[in-house]
Amino acid sequence: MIRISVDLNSPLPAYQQIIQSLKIEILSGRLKNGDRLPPIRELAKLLKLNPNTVAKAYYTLENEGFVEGRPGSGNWVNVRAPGLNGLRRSMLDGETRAYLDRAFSLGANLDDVRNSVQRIAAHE
Amino acid sequence: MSDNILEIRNLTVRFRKRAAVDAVTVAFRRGEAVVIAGPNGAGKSTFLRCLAGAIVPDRGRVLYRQGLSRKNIGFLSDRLSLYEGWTLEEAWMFHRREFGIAEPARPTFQGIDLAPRRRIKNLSVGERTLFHLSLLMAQKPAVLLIDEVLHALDPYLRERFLEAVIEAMDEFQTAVIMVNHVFQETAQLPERVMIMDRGRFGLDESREDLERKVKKAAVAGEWPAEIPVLFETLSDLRKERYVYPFREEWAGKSGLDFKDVALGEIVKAFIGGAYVQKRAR
Amino acid sequence: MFKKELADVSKQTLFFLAAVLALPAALILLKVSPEPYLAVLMPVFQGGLLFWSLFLGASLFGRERRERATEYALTLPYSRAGLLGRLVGARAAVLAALWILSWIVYAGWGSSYSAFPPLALALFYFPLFIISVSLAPLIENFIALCLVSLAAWYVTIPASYILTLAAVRLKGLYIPWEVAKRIPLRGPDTVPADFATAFAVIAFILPIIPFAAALLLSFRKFDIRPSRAFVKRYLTAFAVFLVGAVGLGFVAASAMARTSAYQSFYITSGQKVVEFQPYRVKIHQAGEDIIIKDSLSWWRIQEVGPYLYARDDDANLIRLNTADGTAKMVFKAQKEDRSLWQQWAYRDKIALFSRSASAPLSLLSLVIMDREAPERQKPQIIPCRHPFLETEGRLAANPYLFGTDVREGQAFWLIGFFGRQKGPLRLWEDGRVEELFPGESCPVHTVWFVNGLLLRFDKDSLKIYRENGDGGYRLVKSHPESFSFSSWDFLSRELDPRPVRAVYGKHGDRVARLDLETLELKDVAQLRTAVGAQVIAYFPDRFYLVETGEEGGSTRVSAIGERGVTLLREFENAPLGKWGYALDFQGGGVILGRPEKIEMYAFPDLKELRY
Repeated sequence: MIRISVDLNSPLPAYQQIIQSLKIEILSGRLKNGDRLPPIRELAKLLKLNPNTVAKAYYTLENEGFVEGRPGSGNWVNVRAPGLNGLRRSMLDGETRAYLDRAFSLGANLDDVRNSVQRIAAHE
Repeated sequence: MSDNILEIRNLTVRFRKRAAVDAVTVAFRRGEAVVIAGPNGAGKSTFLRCLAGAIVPDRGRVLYRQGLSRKNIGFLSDRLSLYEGWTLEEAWMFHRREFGIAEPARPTFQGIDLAPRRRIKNLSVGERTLFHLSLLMAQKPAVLLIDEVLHALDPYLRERFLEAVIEAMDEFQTAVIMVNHVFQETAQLPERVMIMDRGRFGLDESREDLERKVKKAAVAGEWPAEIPVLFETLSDLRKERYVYPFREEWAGKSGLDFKDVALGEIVKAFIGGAYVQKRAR
Repeated sequence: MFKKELADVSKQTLFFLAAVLALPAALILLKVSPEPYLAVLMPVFQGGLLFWSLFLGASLFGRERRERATEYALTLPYSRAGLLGRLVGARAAVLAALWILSWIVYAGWGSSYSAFPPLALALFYFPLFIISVSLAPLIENFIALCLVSLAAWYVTIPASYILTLAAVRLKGLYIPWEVAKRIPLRGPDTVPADFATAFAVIAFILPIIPFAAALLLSFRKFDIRPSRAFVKRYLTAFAVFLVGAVGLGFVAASAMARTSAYQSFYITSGQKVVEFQPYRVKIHQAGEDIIIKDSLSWWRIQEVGPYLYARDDDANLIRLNTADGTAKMVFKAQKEDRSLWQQWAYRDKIALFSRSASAPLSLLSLVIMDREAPERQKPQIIPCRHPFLETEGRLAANPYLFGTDVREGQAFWLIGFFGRQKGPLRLWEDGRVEELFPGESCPVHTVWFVNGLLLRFDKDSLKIYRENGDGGYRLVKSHPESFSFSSWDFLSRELDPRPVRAVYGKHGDRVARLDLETLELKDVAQLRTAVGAQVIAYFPDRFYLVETGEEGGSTRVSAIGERGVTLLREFENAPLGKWGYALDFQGGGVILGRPEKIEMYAFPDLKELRY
């Protein structure tokens, strides 16, 4: 099942949120090459979005090289391999940046952060 | 211009002496999703009725373009006007015949099973709304005019309603013009937001632009004179001011922390501002 | 939409018909009406049609308003005109079907149960339908709509009737208020038939025009709110078309009032043309025409000297002086005298029949008045009691006088009958009545009193009777072939002319002379054709021959005298007997009525008379 949700209170526009969610699904391997993305209509209905919004997300994904749209039959996952790694790295960097912002606002320094990461990772 | 499906020119509707719709000129494009909000009595329902043909304007015209005709306009009025004495079956057959609908079976909604022998007047408001919507859907409408009906639906029916509308938007490229105040579930549907006050459209912007141009900040100390205040909350506990149109260079000015505002709140701010202006006069 | 409307309205109409069928039965059972079922059904059905046409019109938006579907109906894919057409069309179709039903009912039972003819009935309810349809968009409340429609309908028809009369009046005709209150179409004589039809059209159809026009022109502005634009347009169109319809009605009524039929003209012996118009009498003469503001009938007028005796609308006998136009009432009639519209002049008297002059009321009696000064003397009243005249207190047949004389100091009058063939009677001054030909009956106008002789025309004989010494008449001569003539006006001639030597008449295919001393018949001229020939007698000594030739359609009028038959005039293109052509002999000349105009010719040589 696709884990896509849109948070109306987020400052991020809905279509961006869809793109993010789909990228995460692809990166995590839950969506593989050759899988069909949910039809625009069904996703729009599920999330109570304007179909154009979903269409825009799919179109952007297609432009960024993650998705292939076949007219009349839908949208299919078709990732060019280098794209995946690059994506993973850029998303990870984004997460790290956000985490570090929050961590430093607590008054911690880089050493505290490293210790915390190792400690928690050991438990996982 | 050539993408317009509905053109309204200088539309004026008077009730006794008062102009309910006051020289409105506006156009709607094919497949556009519009929400019309505004204070009660602003003329929104009257405007919609003009588009549907229930009201003949005193001045001005409503032009149907791109082959638009009453046959493919679906009008869901807040009066839910139908021949109440009929059974659902009879009403469907009549609607089918009048609107030239080819399909013999009425579109239904998931989990909603209305017995064809029931009479319309015996339906609950929610059932009646959904039934009426099903009639309109069968028309494969190019334009859907929806008056304030959502608030009367329970959450389940509301969801079915929205799903049906979204389906139409995708399948028929339906332009949806909806009068609505309840944005909880519908905030993402419209691409265009129009706010009507005293018969005129005081605001007509795309949702994206609007979300960018409306910000709010808690009032603390001196408020810069050049930042326009759309509306100020009335509570003493939390004094916030909504700003429109917002300019990027004001972010952080005078220590003000400008936050984004969701669509529902934006609309509330506009309406509130209109009411306050009315009182001030 | 149309099919739905038609189904709805038809269903309602079936209920209506069921009620119509049931109501008479209920009335009879409740002893409200005593008659047989069909006799009660007829007025219930016809009255019901009126009520139903109001309902059909007023319920134009009935279902929409009742079931809150007005907005839905207005947003259906029709223009306003299309919507209106469907709603009204379905109702009009049902009304038309009911009209056809009323034809069937009328053809089947109408005559036995005094039903209105379907066309006349439709003139009442169809305007009501149109009026209520027209007002339906304006008035939301059904009861109010019905009441206003009824009021409008009730007002417009008398109003347009008054308008018609006003137009007639403006042509110079006087309308006494009492006449205006009554329907002036009494008797086909008083008003030409085309006027009556035109009146019906004006009174019943013209009022529809402003209502229909207002609706058609304003409906495109109709919507669910009480729209000022719609009401304004409606009222404006209504006012404009009201003025237009009034103008049209006015012009039409004026045009109609102008034409008088040939029957309305009379040429006096002094060759004055008297025109009897519906509400006035005009005496044409050089200089200024004389106008008498009274409604007199041209039917059965009597000319004596400078006077014309005629009846007015109340059957009163009026004496008109053609020299100066003065009118004087000679006899005041009562309502029982309505059917007795004749009078006869002889010597210094004028006589008429009346049913109100003697007691008991409605007993027929002969009233004889002094002609010169009727007010100075009481009239002589002679009751006429005889089964030929009266049966069970009712007039058995319409009588006329055809002779009078005096025997042994007592006057008598000879009475003939219209309609049923009965033998003529002789009424004596003392009230005795005897049959002239006991046991025999005579068709009207076939017995003449000349020189004290009775001439009796049969289709194959001429019988001459002379008075017995001891009363009664005996046959003295019988000629075996038919001999006949007509008086120029059978009944209004003088009853006792001076004695004549001879009379002329049509004898088979010849003109013959009957010598009144020898009682011999001698042929004097050969007719070209027997059919279409007639001898007209102006007692005592003028006779004319009228021949309508079959070829070319011309008519010849000749004078008959001691010197034979002399042609006076031949009228081209005057095929008498064809509709619209008539030759009328009058006191001072003849009138040739053609469909498009009326020509007048004066005696003695039938020169054309301009008037």
